[in-house]
Amino acid sequence: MPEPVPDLQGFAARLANGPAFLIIGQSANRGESPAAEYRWGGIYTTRTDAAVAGQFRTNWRTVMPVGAMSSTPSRSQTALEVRYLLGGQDLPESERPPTNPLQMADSRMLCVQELVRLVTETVTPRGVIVIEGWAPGDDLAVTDLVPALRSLGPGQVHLFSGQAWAADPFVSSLVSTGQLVLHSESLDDAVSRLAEAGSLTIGSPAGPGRGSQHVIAIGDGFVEIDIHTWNQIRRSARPVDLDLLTPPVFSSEAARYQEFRSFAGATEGSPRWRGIAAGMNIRRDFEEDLAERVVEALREPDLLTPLVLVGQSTTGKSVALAALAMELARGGEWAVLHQSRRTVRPSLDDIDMYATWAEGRGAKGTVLVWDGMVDPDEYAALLRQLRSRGRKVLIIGSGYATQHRNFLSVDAPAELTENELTQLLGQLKSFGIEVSAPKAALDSSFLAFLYRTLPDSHFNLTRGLAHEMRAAEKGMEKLVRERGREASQGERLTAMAAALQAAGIDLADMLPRPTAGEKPLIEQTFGERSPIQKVTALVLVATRHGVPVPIDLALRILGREGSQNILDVLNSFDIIRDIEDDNGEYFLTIRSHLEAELLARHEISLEVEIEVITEVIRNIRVSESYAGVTDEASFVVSLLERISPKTQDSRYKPHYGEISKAFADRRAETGRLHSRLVLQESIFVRGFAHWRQGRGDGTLEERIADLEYNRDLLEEKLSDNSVKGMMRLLLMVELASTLGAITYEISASPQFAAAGVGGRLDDILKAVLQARAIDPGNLYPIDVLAWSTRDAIKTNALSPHERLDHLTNAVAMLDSVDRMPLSEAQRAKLDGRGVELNRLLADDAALWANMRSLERNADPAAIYLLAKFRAGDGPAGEAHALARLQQAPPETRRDWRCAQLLLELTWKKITGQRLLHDGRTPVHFSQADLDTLLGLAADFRDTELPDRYKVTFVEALALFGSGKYAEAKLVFREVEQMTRHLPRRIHTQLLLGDESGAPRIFTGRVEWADDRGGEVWVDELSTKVYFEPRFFSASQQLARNQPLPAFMIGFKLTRGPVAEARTLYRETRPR
Amino acid sequence: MTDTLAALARNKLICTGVELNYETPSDPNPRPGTEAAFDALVTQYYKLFRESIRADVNFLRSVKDSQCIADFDKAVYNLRTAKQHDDNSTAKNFYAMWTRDRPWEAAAEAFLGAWAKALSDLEHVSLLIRRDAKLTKSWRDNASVEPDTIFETVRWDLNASFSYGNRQRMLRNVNARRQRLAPGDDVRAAVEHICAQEISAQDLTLPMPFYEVLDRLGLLGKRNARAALLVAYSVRAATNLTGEAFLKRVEETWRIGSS
Repeated sequence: MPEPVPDLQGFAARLANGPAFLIIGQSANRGESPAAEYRWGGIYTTRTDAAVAGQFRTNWRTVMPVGAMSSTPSRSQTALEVRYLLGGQDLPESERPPTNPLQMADSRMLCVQELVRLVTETVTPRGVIVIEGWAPGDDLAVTDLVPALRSLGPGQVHLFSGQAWAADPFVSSLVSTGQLVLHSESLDDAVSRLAEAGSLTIGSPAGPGRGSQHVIAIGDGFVEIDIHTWNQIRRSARPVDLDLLTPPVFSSEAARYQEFRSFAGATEGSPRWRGIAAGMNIRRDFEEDLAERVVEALREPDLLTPLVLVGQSTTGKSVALAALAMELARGGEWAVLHQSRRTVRPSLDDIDMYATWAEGRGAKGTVLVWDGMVDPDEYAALLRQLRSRGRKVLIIGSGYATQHRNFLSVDAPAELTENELTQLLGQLKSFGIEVSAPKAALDSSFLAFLYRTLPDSHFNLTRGLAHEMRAAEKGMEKLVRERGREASQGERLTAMAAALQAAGIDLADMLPRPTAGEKPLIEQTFGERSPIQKVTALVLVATRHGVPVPIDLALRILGREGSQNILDVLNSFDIIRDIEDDNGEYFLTIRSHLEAELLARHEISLEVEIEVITEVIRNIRVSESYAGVTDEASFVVSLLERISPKTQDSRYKPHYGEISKAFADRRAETGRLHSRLVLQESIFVRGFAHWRQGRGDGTLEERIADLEYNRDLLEEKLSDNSVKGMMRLLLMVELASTLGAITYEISASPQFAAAGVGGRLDDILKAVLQARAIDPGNLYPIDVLAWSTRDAIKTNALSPHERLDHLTNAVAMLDSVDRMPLSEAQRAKLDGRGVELNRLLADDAALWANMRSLERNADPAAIYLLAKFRAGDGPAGEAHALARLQQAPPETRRDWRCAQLLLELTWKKITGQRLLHDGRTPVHFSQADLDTLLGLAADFRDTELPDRYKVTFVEALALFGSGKYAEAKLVFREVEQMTRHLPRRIHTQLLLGDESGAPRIFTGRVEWADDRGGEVWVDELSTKVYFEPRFFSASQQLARNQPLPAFMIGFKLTRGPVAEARTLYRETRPR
Repeated sequence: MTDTLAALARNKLICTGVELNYETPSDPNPRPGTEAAFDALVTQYYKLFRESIRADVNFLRSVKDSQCIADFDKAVYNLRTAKQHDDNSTAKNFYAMWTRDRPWEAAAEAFLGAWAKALSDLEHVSLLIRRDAKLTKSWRDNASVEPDTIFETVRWDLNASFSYGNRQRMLRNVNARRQRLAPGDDVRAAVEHICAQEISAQDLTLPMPFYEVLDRLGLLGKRNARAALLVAYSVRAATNLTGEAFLKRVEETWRIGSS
């Protein structure tokens, strides 16, 4: 039997309570160490040898050695940082141990700074610092360490093997205040004893031969996730692994009740997986519909829209999504990821890596359940990018109900149906809680309310101490009876407040009250509030928008005593919680969104909310480089999105100026332009200008000056070539929007419009072209160009020629969009814009009056417009339009609008099809056709086309058809780079055909092949092309020089030529 | 082979919340050259199949039996019984047939082949159960009375965590003491007591289930659960109180002791 160890229980309790950080001195044990097996949140050492880091490497944890103050500390237990306080011998040169007195002074300063950071931020109010192997004479002087530890709370430091320090005055002073606990035994002994007694877990909980800790079901079996894959994907989402799927077992009704209560009171954004695995959740009726839609979506290989569960808060969306994730993961066909942290945006690279990993191990694909409550466009953008990389992924998201939906959706209604109520009452009855069946449907906020009425133990429940539920029931019944599905969030909140009051629960008791003589909280500014109330104000402001607060940020805002105040709040008020994610990051939050909203109404005025938000903006820590820690910029972005101009909430609009000013102040103070913050600043400046215009606030000049300043800011950031990919795209789109906003302002004033609306449209066109070069599938900038053009035309400030030029730019841009991957709603929107612009063109008599003379002068806009209209008249019209364009002077042909149309019509003449429109259709090219296409490509080399990849693809294809394989390969590579955001790029676009229109059949032998790909030497072409073995052999075992079954040659935007099995043509042709 | 066993164990974990309690065979490819080595191999698999995972095998077979499982069950039983009991002629004949005209290595190979087929079928049944909610619940109900499950529930209530080796040692103790229970004892309640005693390092018996004490104090599954249970054991040692009087005394003592 294990021996009890009462003297160490306090230490064990501390370790269990929060993250633990170990400071290792130079006298520490260098051999095998049980303490090294503990799940530390960080290691700090005064030793300089690489062996320290080596001691902590295990199969369940990676170790990263770093120097003092070299990066923001992470608390990850599975990607452990070993921080060399005085430099490390094996670290990069700038982090090595000092070699001269000056370096020693610097090193000591960094060491002290790192220790101060550890104590004030990293350790968190619940954490503990453990010291071992630190003896008199260590390079870390007692006068450096002890002062740094002084701001910690009672029992937050444990010094082991500390007998030698017993008489030291500095150490004794910390011992006497209770902050430091001195242990004479070694840490290894203590850890061994506690582990033996069952008070502490060390190492991997899995037994010998049981493998890794992270296992997922795939197919009929299981696959272990190695620690590197785990650490990378955990930055973005949580794999739904065995750990989450394992149901709890209960000894008694009391234990089952406790789980039920914990489940009912679980913190939002942090699913209670145990409760769901134990079947504590009410399965809402919409979950059936959701499951069916998921099955349908998983059957659709080319689905490009996310599936979004929409509804108000407290309608059971999060539980339903977590339950769905578990159900899918249990089946094993799909690898399932889940993300519910509202401040985390799953990264494309992480999801791509995991999906590739899972597919390689037999998963049919990956399902990402992203309970992010973000704009559905974000889900769609990520999905599009993943698809463009060839990943088979389905994204299931959550969101608020909106009228315009260009995505698949399932509604989570606010009222509980009869079936759901029956389940709920049955569940309550199983614990002996008798609630009479309501006469009508209840609002789902009853589920949130329920937790408040449940006693904290089964014993108290049996004594009948449950709060009165009937009154709450009545109120919520009434709400549904009177408002049905129309009940607004405000009405639901009012009903909830009434329910709490009826149950004898006072909102004011949920949080610290003001002291006697103080103003009511709602009247106090943030600055006037006591430290403990600052904690609650900060948490309420963020959580009412569903966003938890990173604890490091809270500590920075609250200052030196913040740690103790946070602890006081956490210990005294159940409604405020701290949650930890698997990466060791800590957040403060309120139990539920609904309760946060209720309390915020009670305690936080709009002015205080803005004060808190601006304080947050000024205090966030932004890491320019990679940091495996909480991304505070993501936190502030998530928070601001909830009040941004995109939302319907107009309360915040008058304060947009204060928010953008906070960004500007921060920028001025730090002297840095951080991309994400610049983007936010611009959005709020633009939103503020729009609000002011609507109210006639300020002068036009002022608003335009603000927007112009914004434009300069964006252009400055965009001039930085290190801004790439999606961020560049977002900034570019924002620039187009800002220019659109300027155009909008100018359009309202004839004198301004006359001065330069045309030039603004040119600028917008330039920004749109650049945005499309990054993501040809992004529609937003095109829409900006369309409505800006419309507004500018309506000013009558443009000459007929200018109107023609700008309208044709906008029309040609709309025409360039590949409509196939779009949803019906997106197509309808684009078509609507097209109709508006075409009507403006058609109704403009002055414009048409000039048309003939412009045509004679080979004006590109006129040539384009006439050709475009003619091309709409069937094959004869197309031929006429093509001839018109071919006859135009070279400089006219090279105009982007004409070039785009000329390429399309030429392709259609040769192939009979639209360019890149039909999949796997055989196409025959004569040498003359190939020459024509190569000629066009050469002609348009310098033309700035919105879909540059199309002409590049045509060039590569023509080079390949002409037998110039090496050149073709290089150009296909360019196509691959240009189309990284296009979801359809993985599809085969066309096949090489013969003159009869049938696909050409080729023969060849394998050059090389592995599980995923290979190359075949094509006898008829004398070159090699890529192929996928799975289409040619069930076993995928193909040996070098083995003849490949006869094949066709198709072309993809990703790879260029590929050998395709003949079955693929037969299978897809009927479609 | 080990992977199939691991997959079966994982299916059990997903369905019941409890691990399959087994020792992984030490040598996955044994080549016994002697009769003694062959017999040791049979004994190892007998213990695994007919002792360690017996309850789960029985349940899985009740869901869907297969000839391979039945064949292996018969083989392992007869091969071991032949060496353990002199009076079982059927077993002795079976042993003779199995080992006749082939070296020990080949006999072992045939034996392990039969094991692999049986295990594969068992694993397949466990997969069917994992994908069926009703069968999953049946397995969970079936497993809920196993000592492993009871140990797990007590461990959770007492907020204790043990290394794999430590847990196995305690489970062995629990199983050994369970064998000594008198007929007519409430086995589940008794095993719960034994588990609580093992984890708390006590040998007294409380006048009520341990979880009632913890529930009364609101400490089920909490960090202080074991400390509170020790208080209850102390009250038990010092008094003859039972029922509500015992709980009240524990409550008072705990309040004073933890203040």
